Amino acid sequence: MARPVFGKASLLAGLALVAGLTLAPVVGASPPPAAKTDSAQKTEHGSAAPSRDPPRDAARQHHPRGDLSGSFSLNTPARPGFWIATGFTGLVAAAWLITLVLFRPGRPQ
Amino acid sequence: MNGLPRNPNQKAAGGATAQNKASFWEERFKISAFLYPVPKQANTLAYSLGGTTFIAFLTLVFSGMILAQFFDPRVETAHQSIDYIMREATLGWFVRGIHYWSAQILFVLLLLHLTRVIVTASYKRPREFTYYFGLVLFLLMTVMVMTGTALKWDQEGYEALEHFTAIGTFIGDPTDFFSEQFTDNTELLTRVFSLHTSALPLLIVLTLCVHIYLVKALKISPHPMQTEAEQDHGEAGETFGGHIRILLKLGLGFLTLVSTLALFVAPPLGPDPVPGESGVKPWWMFLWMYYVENQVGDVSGAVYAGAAIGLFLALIPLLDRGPERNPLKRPIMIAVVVLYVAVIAMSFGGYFGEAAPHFQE
Repeated sequence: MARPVFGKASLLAGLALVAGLTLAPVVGASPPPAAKTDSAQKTEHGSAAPSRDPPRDAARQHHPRGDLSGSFSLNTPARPGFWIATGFTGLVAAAWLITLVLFRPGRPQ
Repeated sequence: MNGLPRNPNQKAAGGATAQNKASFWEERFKISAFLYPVPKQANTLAYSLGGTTFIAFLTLVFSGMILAQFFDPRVETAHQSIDYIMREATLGWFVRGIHYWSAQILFVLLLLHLTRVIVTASYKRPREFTYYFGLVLFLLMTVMVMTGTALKWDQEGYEALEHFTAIGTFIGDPTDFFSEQFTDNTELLTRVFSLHTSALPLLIVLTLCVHIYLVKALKISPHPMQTEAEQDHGEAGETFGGHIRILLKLGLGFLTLVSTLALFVAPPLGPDPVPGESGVKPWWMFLWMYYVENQVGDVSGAVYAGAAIGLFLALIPLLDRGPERNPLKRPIMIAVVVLYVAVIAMSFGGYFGEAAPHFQE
């Protein structure tokens, strides 16, 4: 008999991760939509002018020798659609886990 | 339904239904055509990197199509529209994250795929043109990364576009295609957007079609420990169906990785650019060229360095033509290892070195 690819512990951990990500949109509190600032006005082409947050403005003040290239930042639930993205990631991870189990080496296809 | 199975040999009605369904799709799509035999090594991770790169490319195409709905490729609005995608558009930040991280991982996959091809001598006769079309794909993907970087129109994007102009001037482009002088009607940034979303993807797809056709027609190259005559042609029981299963696993693994990264880590976006300013370091895949540029003092360093490595890669099938495939017995591998070490060392030099201005106005 072929040796199982996943131990029970790793399989359970994977399932817990997938369940957590997938169910997060259901149990997570939906954040209120981000309040638009006065600067978020529609242009003639219909796209909204961006509302710039304080850190970005601070970086601009230090320009041109400040943070020219920008830097990575962590996303928070305040992002529009954060919980939908979390659920999507969970579903993709679940699909991946299923293919790993279904197509594991040694299993008759 | 009269209760009689269509096939008298079929005992269970459920089984008959399943078989009927299978034959419905088989009759119309000939799915069994994918189950042709392949050599054993074809269904390994190392030989599935090309297919995974293709999945990464498809992810970029789909996420790029969504981003294009919100992006305004004019100098005065490009940066604002990226800001809008990141802050206002529902899931815009997530789609941009997927686009960004897919591009990063695609380039890693490309490098791994190229390395596997060189190590296993898959460029040898009769597969020289499979290799050359692969090199063209590599070049096109590199230009895609460059054009994509320019589009976000922060200081990094501005300097990427400056490189386009400088390279165009340096190589003496008579049409001035890479400069604002090409036309008064359309900005260079808008034309770069057009390249990024239409001409380059089309060229990539066409080149990919030829590349995939050649892989299929000439079959997978032999294992490096075998000669062309010794290699198995499916006697080990492996089929292309197994390859598709591996690609499904790798593709969904790739999507899980980019989705997770996009969910938690937002790609950088610097402030609006200042014309004439320079000194931002490029993405990691260009750091070695950036290092050479720093040493030479202008963009000619990057052009010569890129051309030299491109020429070396193109010469490999011409220099290494013997039957030997074992990487430990092929002298060309010494030059390849030296090249890899040099590029990695220069990349570190570019990463840790001081950000130097390459354009002074």
